[in-house]
Amino acid sequence: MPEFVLSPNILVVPILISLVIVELIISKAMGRSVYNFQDSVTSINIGIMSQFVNATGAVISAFMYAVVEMKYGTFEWDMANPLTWIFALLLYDFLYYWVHRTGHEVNMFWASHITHHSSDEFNLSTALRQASTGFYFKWIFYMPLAVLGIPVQVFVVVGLIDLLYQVWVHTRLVGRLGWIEYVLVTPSNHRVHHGKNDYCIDKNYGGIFCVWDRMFGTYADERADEPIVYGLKKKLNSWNPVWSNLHYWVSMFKKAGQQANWGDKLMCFFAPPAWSPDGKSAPTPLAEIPATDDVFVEKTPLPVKVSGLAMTVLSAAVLVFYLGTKQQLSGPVQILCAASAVCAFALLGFFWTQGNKKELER
Amino acid sequence: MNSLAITDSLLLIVTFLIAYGAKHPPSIRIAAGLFAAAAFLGVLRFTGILPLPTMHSFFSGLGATSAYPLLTATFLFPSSVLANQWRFSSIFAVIAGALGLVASALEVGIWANAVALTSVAALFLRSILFRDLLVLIGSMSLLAAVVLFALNVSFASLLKPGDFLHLFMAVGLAILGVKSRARESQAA
Repeated sequence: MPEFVLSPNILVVPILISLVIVELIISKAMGRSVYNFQDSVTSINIGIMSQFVNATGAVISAFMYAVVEMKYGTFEWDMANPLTWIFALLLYDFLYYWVHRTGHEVNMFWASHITHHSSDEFNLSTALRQASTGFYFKWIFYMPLAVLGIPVQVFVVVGLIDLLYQVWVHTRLVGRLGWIEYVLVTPSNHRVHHGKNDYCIDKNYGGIFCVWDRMFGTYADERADEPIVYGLKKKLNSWNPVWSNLHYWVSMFKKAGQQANWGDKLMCFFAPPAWSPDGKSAPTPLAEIPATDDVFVEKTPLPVKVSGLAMTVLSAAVLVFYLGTKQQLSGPVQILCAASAVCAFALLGFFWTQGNKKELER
Repeated sequence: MNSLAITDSLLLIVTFLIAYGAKHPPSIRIAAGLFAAAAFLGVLRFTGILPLPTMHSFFSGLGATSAYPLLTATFLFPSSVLANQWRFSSIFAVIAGALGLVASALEVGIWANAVALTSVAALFLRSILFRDLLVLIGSMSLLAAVVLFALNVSFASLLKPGDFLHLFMAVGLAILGVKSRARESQAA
């Protein structure tokens, strides 16, 4: 039996799930409905699955960063100096802006990031809905930090700070925050980012600071006169964590396969998501999207609730155990564990999605 | 001041003028910008003003693995979105640069030279096929730059291998710059 080693990323799992429960309780107390059971359980399970995959996938990023920093790192940075951390965080957040923007505006990167936007709700559980496939490209954008010689430890910590900051902005319970809206990413301006209203598309990419959006013309304020509609223009209609990660890849490859020439095939991967070979490249206006494409039951039956909760609690427990013991496992065994987790989620997600469909209820 | 500082200054002037020139397509400007960044760091390094050897080496590697293929792709597919749109030129540069970094991390030392050589060889073949004299001279000059540098050729104590790289690159890029500018003017 491998020895269990407690690390900060293990503590994050129960803390984040607790925050979701706290927001749920507060929203009930306020008489507001911001949670949908199936959606939230799916978000949490997508988050758990991404941790299984990224626990190994992130090693690729850290490895690439460490190698480039060792080979090309130009300056020496004093880790005891707070200015080192402030500079690294600012630069990281600036680079994050571009990672995030590319994640929305280049189709093959959107194929990964779409997972985070596939919820029709907007709450703290949406923050956990992270892609399992993003690790393959994100590291590229952080290489300027490595070339400047920012130590890998600083890179990892500021990356974690940037990520954790972004959790609290996924809420509908906090209104506008006055002057802070001009500098920081807030729940209000991040709600715009998750909206599918026409004015929300490709806006507010910032991680901690929204000044980058203001600089590069991608900032939009939340409008009081137009309620935000969350989620994807083409609904996912699945509670399967694996499918939520793969559905866009499948449709992207299918679309590429249908193109007659190589130029158009490549465009399917590198053009903006709204690109089509007939020359239309603007996103479909919200008004043109059918409002009734939801195939799921609205009221959650008890068996669905029990099975969903059991699935989540069990997978969270297995994840905590895995994260605590994975250091003692070899690389191939870690990959095998991550692959097993993905297979388990694919099966559970399939059955759970079937159990939630309207036609099965009849 | 040593010879490398002088030849790198020449390369810097040529590449900066191309990168700054609004009449060149975006892909040529990005490729020239990457070479210019490397040349600028080279000037800082070889004049002793601000020696940042690792950063110079990083940008030189980026030039070899990213700018050379971008340059070649521009001449092979002059009317493509890759040549004419900032968006696709920069995506190409980032992906090619990332592949170069992966090769460097995996200690595939030959990658940068192989990519540079393949790129200029493709440009050379294209110029023969299309009987394009300017591109032929430009690509021959770039080919000489890559080959002489790889073979570590020097000339007495006057010119080091790096000098040949800088000089032939400056000449080759200047000629290709004239060609791309002429093509853009014709298209306009």
